[in-house]
Amino acid sequence: MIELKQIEKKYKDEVVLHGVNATIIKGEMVFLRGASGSGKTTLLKLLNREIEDYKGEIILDGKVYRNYPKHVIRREVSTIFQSFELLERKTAIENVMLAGEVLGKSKKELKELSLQRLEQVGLLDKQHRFPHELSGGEQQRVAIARALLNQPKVLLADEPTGNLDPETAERIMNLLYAINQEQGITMVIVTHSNELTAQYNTHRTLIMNKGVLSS
Amino acid sequence: MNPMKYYIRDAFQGLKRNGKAFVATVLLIAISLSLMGSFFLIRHSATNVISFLETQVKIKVFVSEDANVKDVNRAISSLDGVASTDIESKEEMLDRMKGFFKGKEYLFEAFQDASFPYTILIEANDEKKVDSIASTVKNLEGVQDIVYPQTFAKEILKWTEIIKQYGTLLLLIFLLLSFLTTQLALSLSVHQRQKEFRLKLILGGKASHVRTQILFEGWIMAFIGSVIASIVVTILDRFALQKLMDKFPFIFQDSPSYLNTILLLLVGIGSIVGILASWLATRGMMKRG
Repeated sequence: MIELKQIEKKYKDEVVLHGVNATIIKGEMVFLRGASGSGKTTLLKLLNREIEDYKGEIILDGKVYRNYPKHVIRREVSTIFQSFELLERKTAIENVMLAGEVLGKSKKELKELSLQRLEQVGLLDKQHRFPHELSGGEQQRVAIARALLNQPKVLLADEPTGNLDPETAERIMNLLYAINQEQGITMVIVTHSNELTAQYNTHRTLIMNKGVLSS
Repeated sequence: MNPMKYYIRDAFQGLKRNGKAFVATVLLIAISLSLMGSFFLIRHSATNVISFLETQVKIKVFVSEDANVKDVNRAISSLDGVASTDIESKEEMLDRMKGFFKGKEYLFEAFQDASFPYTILIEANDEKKVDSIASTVKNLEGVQDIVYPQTFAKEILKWTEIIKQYGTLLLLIFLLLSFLTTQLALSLSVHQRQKEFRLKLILGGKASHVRTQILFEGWIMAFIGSVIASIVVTILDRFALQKLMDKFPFIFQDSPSYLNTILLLLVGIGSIVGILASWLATRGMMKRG
């Protein structure tokens, strides 16, 4: 479970998050919607600890963020990005393996795990392709496989379909939905698309407007 | 399992990818450290020469043509600290010089008509008294000039000090250049691969591990540079200093430990330069986390 208590974030004199309070239940898939500049990406960066300087508390399964080193939290909270963030010089499987390398997993174990994840996202046959040899949707699937490698508790997705055509976007969303349902991973999906949240209206949508969060 | 093996693998890949910057940095470090090593070797040799010259107890006095050599010799013999004196005539001197002109007797003939002053060779009973005897003798009536090894020692010492002063300045400039080049190379590398480093951190990599990878890259460059410098200094020692030692064993003392100390120093300084420069190059990245 993630708890956000009175989160306030300023950039110089500009307040971008005004006392944000929220609770996300374990296994929940939550959309965080808002216009550009509403503060949703800032909130996501707080959750994956790219931003450290804020007021309030973030608690993950009883762990107060501030009391733990970044890497401890980041091993439980994975992130996928709009721009996929794959390393161009590494193949699909090598990109996935990177997530386990930073934890020091053995090569054998890593390879097995990576193949499982690639199979899960339907890219087993393209494991040796470089990112530029994959479509946008396939690149995002590699990024998802990488994010899932270490079995995180939470998956944060920053506009995961922002760079994709509607058809591919739907497939990616279906994949995330399936992972949430099958593995019970808590998901926070940042989007500015009303259509996307309307499609998944069975899930909770948090609206961010000028730094204020509402359900 | 320790993830460092993956980081070290990535460090080597990073160096390979930035081949030209890598070679330039290694060469600059090698040049700076070679200069430093050579400087230490020269200083060591100069110290040997100075020590040798300072142990010499003989003073050569040139007597004026219009003075009576026996009177001058008597005055010198009565001085405190003089163990013995020996007068050398023009004939005796030419006889002694004969050996130098073997095969070039025509040159020797030319010397025979020249006017040479009488010389008196003084031997002091204590090397510490050579300086005071020389200054007293210099002021004696009938003395044209004096020559003694300790004057050379002073001259060498003077030059050694000058070399030390400007050499140290030059070395510091070169070290600074190596440092800045390493930092620049690493900064470029960090900039080029910031996505990779950022990703490693986002995926849960420890900041200390990511930084160690870059520090390792910097150290490798500096280490290779210092090994090249050590080879250059060893060659200089073998082909220049050792030959001098063989020729003048009474001047130069063979001390392999000195060379080893220099080599260790070069590797140590190189490593510090590499690690410190890469540490500084990663400061910004670490702050951003």
